[in-house]
Amino acid sequence: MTNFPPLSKTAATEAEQLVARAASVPPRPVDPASWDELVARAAMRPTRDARLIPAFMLAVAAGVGVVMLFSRPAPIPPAQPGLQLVATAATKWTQTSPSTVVLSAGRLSMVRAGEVRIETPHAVIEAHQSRFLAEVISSGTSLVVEEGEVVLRSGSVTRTVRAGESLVWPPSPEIPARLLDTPPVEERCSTSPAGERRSCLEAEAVNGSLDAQAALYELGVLEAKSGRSERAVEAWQQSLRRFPEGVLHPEVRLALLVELVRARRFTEAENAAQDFEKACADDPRRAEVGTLKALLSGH
Amino acid sequence: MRAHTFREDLHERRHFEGVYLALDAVDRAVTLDEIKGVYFAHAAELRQAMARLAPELDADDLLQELFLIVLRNPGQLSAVDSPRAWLYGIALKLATTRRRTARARRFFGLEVADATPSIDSSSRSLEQRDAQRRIAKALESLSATKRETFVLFELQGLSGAEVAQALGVPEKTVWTRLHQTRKEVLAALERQLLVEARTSGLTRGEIQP
Repeated sequence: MTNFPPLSKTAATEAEQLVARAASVPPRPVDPASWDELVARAAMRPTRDARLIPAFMLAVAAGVGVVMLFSRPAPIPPAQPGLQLVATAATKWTQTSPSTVVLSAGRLSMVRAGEVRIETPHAVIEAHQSRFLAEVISSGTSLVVEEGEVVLRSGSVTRTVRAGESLVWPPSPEIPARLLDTPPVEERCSTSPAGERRSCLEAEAVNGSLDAQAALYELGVLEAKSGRSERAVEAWQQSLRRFPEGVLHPEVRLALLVELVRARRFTEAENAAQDFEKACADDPRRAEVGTLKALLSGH
Repeated sequence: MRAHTFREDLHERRHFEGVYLALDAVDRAVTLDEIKGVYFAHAAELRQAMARLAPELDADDLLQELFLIVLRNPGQLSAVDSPRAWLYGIALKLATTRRRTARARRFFGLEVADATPSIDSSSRSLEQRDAQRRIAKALESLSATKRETFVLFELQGLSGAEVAQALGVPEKTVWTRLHQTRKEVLAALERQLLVEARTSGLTRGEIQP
């Protein structure tokens, strides 16, 4: 955009001529006496219209009132008598007395409150002025304490859980050390890159040879070490379905049993122990399996 | 003979005993006579400009307020390159502020709106008065920045550089604004002429005074 002359110098249309005509109006000269008036006015302290002050204060007060109206905090609800708890979806619980809750499944979050007693299928939890989570699953009750102190009772056993601690009840049975000895098996697919070993083993497990048995066993071991318990169990169960009398079936049965115990799937573990006793009557580890089965039956 | 500084000048004048002035701002010798010279050189056109920018307000009052500001900030007058553009800059701010204050006063019922807005009454002819009236009407629909740019350049005859200094914007911005504003003003004037011709039954040529 370049500079251009004013319309008054280039007026062509009627509208432009109007502008030129208005621009040609000379300013009215100022009265020489106005300078003296100005100097006299400058000598006075400037004043403000006092009538504006109440109007201004009124406007400020109205503004403050509006702000207070909208920013007034919501009244704090009075404390509710009884327990204060939060239950997740699908939690099954009932309150049997002002301070007692029966929790059969799901998770409850207890807000810091007075005396509270929670009854689960596995234990009784007692607390006072504590904040904690209690969760019931099929294999037990877990407890995570965030504030205060919580007492868990089961039969004659009493455990005290403090803030920052957690507990799962009943505890997993101790697995005999002999059952944890992994048999030396020739490593398969060991040359495959780390991310491709699983697919290599899965590919090897397709045929019906001895290699397939070893591949399925190793696949389960790989999944268990990676923390994928479900997939490890699936691999070994598949192995037992396909090769119930295979050369590796005792090792597969033991690995499955141990993994089920670690995953707190006690009922399935007990069945797996029973299957082992039937299928491997002459196995030297049968006694340890019997011991573990006895512990599992107590859960 | 050494010229009196503005401060000394004030002390010598009884009018200024107890005067409320920001004397700390004086960093150069500025005499009251210098300010008087500036006043008589530019007061008339500044009053005309403020009458065009704020037609509902008293232009004489605005002019006095403008020069009260100058008297209270004498140091700034000596520091600017173009006193004319600087004065126009103050005039623009003053007109805007006073228009806003007047609206507030009317809102609180402290002031009644002037039913007949006054245009600087220096028109010399009927044609000029009619042109003033039409331009004032056309300027009503413009935004403040466009109105200020148009008035300063087209009506008051400031150069592009002076308008830029008065508005505190780059000169390029002034030309861009002017380009757009010209179109809007001329279109508004054309509409006025057309509407008047239709309602009067005359041709556009016939309605010219």
